Amino acid sequence: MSVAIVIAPLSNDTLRDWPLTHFERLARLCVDRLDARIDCVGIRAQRVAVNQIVRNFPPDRVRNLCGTMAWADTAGLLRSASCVVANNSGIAHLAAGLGVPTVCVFGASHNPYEWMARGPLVTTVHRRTGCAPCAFGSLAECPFDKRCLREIAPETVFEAVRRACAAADATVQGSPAAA
Amino acid sequence: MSKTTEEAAPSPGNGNTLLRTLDRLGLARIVEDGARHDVVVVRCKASVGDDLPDALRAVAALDIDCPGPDRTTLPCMDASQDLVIADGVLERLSDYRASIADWFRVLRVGGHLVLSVPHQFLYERKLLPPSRWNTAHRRFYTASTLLSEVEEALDPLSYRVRILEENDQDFDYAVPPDEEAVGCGELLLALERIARPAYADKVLDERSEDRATGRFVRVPGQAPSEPVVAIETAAKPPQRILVLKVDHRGDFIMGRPAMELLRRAFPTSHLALVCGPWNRAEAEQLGLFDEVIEFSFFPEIASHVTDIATEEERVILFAREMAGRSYDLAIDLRVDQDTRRLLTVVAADHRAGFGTGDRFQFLDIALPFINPTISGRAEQRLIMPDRFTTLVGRHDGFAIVCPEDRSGMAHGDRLIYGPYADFEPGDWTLEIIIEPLESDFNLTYDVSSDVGSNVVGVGLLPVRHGVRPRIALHLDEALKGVEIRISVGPSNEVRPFRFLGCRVSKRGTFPALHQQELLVLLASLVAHRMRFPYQTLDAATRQPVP
Repeated sequence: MSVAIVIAPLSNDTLRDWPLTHFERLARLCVDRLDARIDCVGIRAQRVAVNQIVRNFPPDRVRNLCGTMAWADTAGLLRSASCVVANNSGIAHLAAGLGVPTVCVFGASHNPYEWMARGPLVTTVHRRTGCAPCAFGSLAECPFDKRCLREIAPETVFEAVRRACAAADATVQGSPAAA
Repeated sequence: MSKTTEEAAPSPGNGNTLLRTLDRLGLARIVEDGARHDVVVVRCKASVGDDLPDALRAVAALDIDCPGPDRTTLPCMDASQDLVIADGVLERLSDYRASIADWFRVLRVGGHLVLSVPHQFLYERKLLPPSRWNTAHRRFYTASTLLSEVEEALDPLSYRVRILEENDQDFDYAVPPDEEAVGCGELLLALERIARPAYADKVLDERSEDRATGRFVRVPGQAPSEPVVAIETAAKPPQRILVLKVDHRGDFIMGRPAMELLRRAFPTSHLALVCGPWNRAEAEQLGLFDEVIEFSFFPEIASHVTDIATEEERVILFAREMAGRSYDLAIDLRVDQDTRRLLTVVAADHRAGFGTGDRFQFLDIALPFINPTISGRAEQRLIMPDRFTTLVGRHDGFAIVCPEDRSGMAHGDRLIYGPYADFEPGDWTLEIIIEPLESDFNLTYDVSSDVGSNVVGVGLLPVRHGVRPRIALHLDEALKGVEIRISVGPSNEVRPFRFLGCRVSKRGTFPALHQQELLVLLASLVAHRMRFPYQTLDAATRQPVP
């Protein structure tokens, strides 16, 4: 099974961002186990940071598209994806609303039941830390080194991605979503 | 005419340009004196020798096949080379990241990587691949795209760009793009490997710009259980829906818009209604429901009944009624919370109703709001002196009495404090009943919660014959444990006085959401939520988590 995955690794707030090293590990799992082709999206200013994710992959496997697409064009890319992985960010809401299988890695700054992306095929992965939800406005306020996100393992998110891709595959083939 | 075969392809460069670049970097001597330095030239076999200067021919070379492999790996140890030149190679390799990283890998600190590639608008003169001139060229380059590939490939804190040059020496701009270019047409990029600074990892850590400030007072630590949960949605509208509307005739009429909304939202679902027997005919006439179930939670006319079953008994009776039935969704269409517990005995995947999730943890769809019937009502009560503590006088019957002149105490010294009462949101008036036993004087007051940390009112408190000072208090949210403190004023006077408590009153508020509107809000919420119902699972075990 070869799948197309879109990753939006950076939001507009570092407090909400799953670590880049985790995204890189997730990309490795997706490439190795799902034979995935991955496009990383973001704005131009995020391009250099996202290079940390793509650096160790062949360019035809994991692309850095930050700054190359307008928001309207991004929707087209998302529509063609088997799965979109994002933080609590606009891309997650866009993908979820388009009905694309979406996996959202959701930190503890916000209550997921209040702010999560909604759509027919969304999985919100969230760690219920004792400090959640903190409603902090910036990472500088977090005394716990953002462990609500840091302690969500790439393997856990990969499992959600795998299930989402399987569901998308089943939907395309007209059969019930695979469990 | 276009030439598209590898053998026939013209070269974009000129070996002298490469040498000049090396000279500008102070590296020409390294090449000329190759025996004493470690230099590698990566070349393409097909183009070897066509314009490489003699000095470069002599040094160690890796000649790749053209069309080339995906990537190259130099047979060199890490940090073993002074100079790596990749001349006309990068554009032929699909895995540019791995190739650039490998060429860079073998450089010593202070060593240089020189890349030469054909320029998109000098050599190729075309907007998109394929190349007119060389079928092996996989990508076109401008200064920006070449640098982008380097940035993707290399740790940004491990190198500096020394030269980035578009070489159009002797280029003839009069030659049209479908004819072979005349003159140079390559891009040159020279990088120097630098010692990675000690702070590099810190810079690349996305947290580095956000230093914690220590304002953590309200953050609890670790919880006993901190599962990673997966909140999963699925596009599966509810097939069997139960609507509870067990109150009276007027309530039923007010609930009709909400019921109609539910039918519109779930046109093909089986909709069952539970209502009082007095509303059955009306319900059937509506034509919205597939089934009507009678249940008397309330008596039809409360004032005609004296022996009403307890709430627990009525819930048990309802449980019997619901035995053997199951639903995807159950909704209690009543604003008052007295019927909410009926939902606990319905076998349903989702339960919806008014109230907070804290109070009704069984609600999957809880619409919290301030009940206007409760929050909007007027209140008046007297808080007696026995709810207060005094530091200067004594409790005497229904009063606190301070018969002595205590003038001279310090401004701010507490005299009386209490009553630690709870206040709902609204506009409150606190009437302090305090009177002088002799001459008039002034004290001060403050009103606070959270052990004085949240002060919501402060001011002068005149103690006068025939005057009852009033404190106006507007509360946007409920306050618990409110403390009223009466203290020595700025004149330091504390004449004999008597304190008889505090009368608190709240004005009633009339603007409110209508019951019909509230029910429509709940029905809309349910319809919206159930478009994409979700469940919370433990990510590891996939067992439901409340």
